[in-house]
Amino acid sequence: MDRFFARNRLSALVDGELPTNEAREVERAIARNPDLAAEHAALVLTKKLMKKEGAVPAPRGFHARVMTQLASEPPTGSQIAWLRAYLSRIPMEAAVLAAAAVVIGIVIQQRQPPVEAELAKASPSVMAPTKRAKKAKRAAKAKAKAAVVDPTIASLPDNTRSQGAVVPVSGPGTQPQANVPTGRVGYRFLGRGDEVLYEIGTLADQVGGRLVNENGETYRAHSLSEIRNFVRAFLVFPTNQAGTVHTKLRRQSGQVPHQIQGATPTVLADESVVLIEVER
Amino acid sequence: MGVSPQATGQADAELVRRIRLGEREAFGELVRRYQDGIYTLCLRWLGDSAVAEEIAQDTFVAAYRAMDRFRGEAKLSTWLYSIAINRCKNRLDHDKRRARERHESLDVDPDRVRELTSKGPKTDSRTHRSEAMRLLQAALDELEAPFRTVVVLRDIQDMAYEEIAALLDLPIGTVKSRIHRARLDLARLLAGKIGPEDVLD
Repeated sequence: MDRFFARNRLSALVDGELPTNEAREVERAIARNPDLAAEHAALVLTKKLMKKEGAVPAPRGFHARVMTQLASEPPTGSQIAWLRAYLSRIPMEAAVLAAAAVVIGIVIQQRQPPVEAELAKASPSVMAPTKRAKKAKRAAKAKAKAAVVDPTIASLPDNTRSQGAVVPVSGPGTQPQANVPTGRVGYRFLGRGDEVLYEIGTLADQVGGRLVNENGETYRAHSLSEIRNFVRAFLVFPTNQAGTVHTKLRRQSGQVPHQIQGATPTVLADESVVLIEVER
Repeated sequence: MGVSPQATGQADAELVRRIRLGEREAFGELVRRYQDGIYTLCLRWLGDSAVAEEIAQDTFVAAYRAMDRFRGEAKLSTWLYSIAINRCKNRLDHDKRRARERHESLDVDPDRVRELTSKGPKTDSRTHRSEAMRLLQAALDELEAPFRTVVVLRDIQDMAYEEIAALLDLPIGTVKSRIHRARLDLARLLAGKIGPEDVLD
């Protein structure tokens, strides 16, 4: 065994961690080499010193101080201890995300004062809902619903509405324009990819429109297999159907339309176009 | 001293079972069993008796709070030492950060800067029963933390290589080489200052 090899095994020898054969070889190397022997002696001395002087008893009163500190702790296994242990296991990131979600929820709620706000006006009491409050809530809900559906539907026979059909309007100027945004806009649909595309294809059929790509090439509305690979399509429709189309798209996307940039397909003078983006 | 030879795995398991049933006295027994070992580890790591006591106490309080999470996969002693080691590391990091901040706020005072940026923890004279002990702590203070840790665990706490490797999440070869280098450094630092008479019982 060479000196280098033996030197690297001195500590293991001191710890009694070398296999017998290796230990004998290292001991023979030590016997032959005074430097190695001196190093070995120094290591033995150091280890003995650590053993003898290294350990220090805990200060007097340590045990009592720890137990005093623990006196204010809930007993292990109690529900409070369990809850604290459980909470401490929740990663900080998750806690931050949850807090952020709550804040965002509050902000969204404040920015879109819906039925509840009207309900609050109708019934200022913060106590448990009374008959009057419940009635006001129903009225507010009905009012809110009426505000988002196509007003033309209200005048249609019930059987038409129940089928979910979007009825074409007879001519220009008869369509309410309150829900029609200005400029080039698009709608984003999060999830429900194929289902959304099918509904929009149906809508296109119903209003006499079509789904096209950026170059104006038409997708047949019900040929979902053809548009399945696309998450961007343009819905081209007669401008006099704008109210119906936007009302439907708002309802389906759950969003207001956003302004879009970039190229849009060329359409006729009496046509409009919206971008449809679908997350599949 | 340190972990009692009678503190077998079975005894520890029984202790843990009683603690989980809410027996505070059982936890008192655990403190009695491990207080010297934990305090020694903290003292040898941090070098200051007051800070070591504070960290050792924190270790036991943290262990009490986390006892429901102790699954018994590691030895109880290993689990306790890992809590203590984490706390010692955090304390040293905290002290270093503070020293750096203070260093940055000092204009020109080379002596003060030297004092604040010295490598190891400060040796506390109150903890030394003998000159040899003082010399040993001074030498330990000179070691880098990774080397000080392994040699303390091995030579003072009597931990096996495998146990140290598991505790520090290191390959066993790294543990061996660090112990070897730590001992060589200690031997060099103590050369001429201690002799065989210092280690006689």
